[in-house]
Amino acid sequence: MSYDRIGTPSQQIIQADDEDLDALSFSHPNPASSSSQNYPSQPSQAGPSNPSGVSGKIGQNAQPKTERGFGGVKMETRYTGESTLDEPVTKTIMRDLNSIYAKLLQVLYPPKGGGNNQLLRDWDLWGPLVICLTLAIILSIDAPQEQSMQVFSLVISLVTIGSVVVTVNSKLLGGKVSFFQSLCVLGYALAPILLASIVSLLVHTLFVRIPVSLACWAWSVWASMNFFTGTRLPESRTFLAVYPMCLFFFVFAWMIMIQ
Amino acid sequence: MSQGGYAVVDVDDEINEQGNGLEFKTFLPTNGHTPRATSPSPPEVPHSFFNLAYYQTYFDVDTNTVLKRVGMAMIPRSGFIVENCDGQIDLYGPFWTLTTLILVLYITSTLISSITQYLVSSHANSNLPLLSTAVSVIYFYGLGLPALLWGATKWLGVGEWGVAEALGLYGYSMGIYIPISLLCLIPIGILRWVLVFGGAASSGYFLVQNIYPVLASADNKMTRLLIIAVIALHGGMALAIKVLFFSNSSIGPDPITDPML
Repeated sequence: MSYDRIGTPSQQIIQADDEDLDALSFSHPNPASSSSQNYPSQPSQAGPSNPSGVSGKIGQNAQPKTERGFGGVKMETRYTGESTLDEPVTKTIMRDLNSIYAKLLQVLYPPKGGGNNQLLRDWDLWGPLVICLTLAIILSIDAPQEQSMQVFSLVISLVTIGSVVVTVNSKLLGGKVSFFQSLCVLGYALAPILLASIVSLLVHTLFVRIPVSLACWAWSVWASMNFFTGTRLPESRTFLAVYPMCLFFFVFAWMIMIQ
Repeated sequence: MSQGGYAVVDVDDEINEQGNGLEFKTFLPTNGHTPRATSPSPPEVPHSFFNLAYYQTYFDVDTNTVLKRVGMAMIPRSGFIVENCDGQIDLYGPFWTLTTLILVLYITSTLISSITQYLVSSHANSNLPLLSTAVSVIYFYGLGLPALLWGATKWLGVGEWGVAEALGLYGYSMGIYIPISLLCLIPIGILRWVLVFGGAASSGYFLVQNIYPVLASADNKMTRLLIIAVIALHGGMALAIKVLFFSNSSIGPDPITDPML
């Protein structure tokens, strides 16, 4: 941190460059510099997860994040490893799809997805939108002809209103959770339900549908519980936060079973 | 050239303003420090209806407390808020009781109709409109009506209770319909009538026991007549549940519901 001696106005920019190098090399923990108090645990978390970034899932969690302050305005830039200005469009789309895939893996099977919630800190609502729309389309195909439009709108509104209500409920109970991050997780946790709906679209036997729907419902609840146990709710209140999620996912599981 | 002189003075003023702006900018890094210093202190709960922290006082409950209150609400007794809720009612229990009731009504009624259609061996189709019916009926009765009742008592000058208490009483009183609608899976028509109206009598008695003291505290005796409206609407609600969700039910000819409707 020999740059600290320079007392010029460009001091912050030079410090940010220094951080960038630190994050890229992962050689040593970042000495607590004055501009990185926001995520004190970030370098120590990004370090161990670097090997999983090597293994092919485009290392979203290994991307160095740089935070700079320009006159009090906080900026966050991210170096993706190459220039994104003149790359092909397919590459851009594939990067977004890969990010959705990585988050999906993280939510549905945390041990394989890297095991830390660092990835979910960069929430997006694209994945939930895709999952919600696909679920609504599949359920409306499965429904009787005269009801398909109703089913479609009902599923869309249930997903949006339901996830907002569940999130607000856990916030009211005192959980420390970011609003959109929770919406993101609930949306991704709907993926097993989507799987159940695809299975029941293909297999119409009742004895296949019911076990598959129930198993996928349990999977969804488990996946969202994994995230919500990190919200630091007291032990005596955990059930109060989990119960609405069970209801939320059960509506869809029941719709799939009854179709 | 006096105007030019004034112009120079104006420029001087502008420079002064810019100087102020620069001073403001130099304060910003220290501004960034001050919230961090104050954040560990517990935030004060502002008394605003638009703040989430205001509603957290109504969600300050534990699992056992909610389960106990739901259970105690099924036993019709007076003094529910004072005895079972220690004078401070929550809104978690009422809201999720109503939501559970919606889901249970939807599940049981669709299950009944699909079992019937399966036995008659026609093509089974789900009755999705039932879900939106259940949502509108239950939420209107459980959330809209107590708010209206509270507004009416406020307007008549009976200021003894808050809107949260009205919502809480109505929400908890609907809890008894959850086991009843599960029992209504038994395809015997007369049993369903007995169950639904037994539940209506129990929860109606609970409501009367808890609302009447509030109404009776008013000077004007006419406000007590509101209890008649409460009872009438509660009977109508029970009838609506029976007709909407448990009517197209029994297998084959329907000996019980046909004469009564």
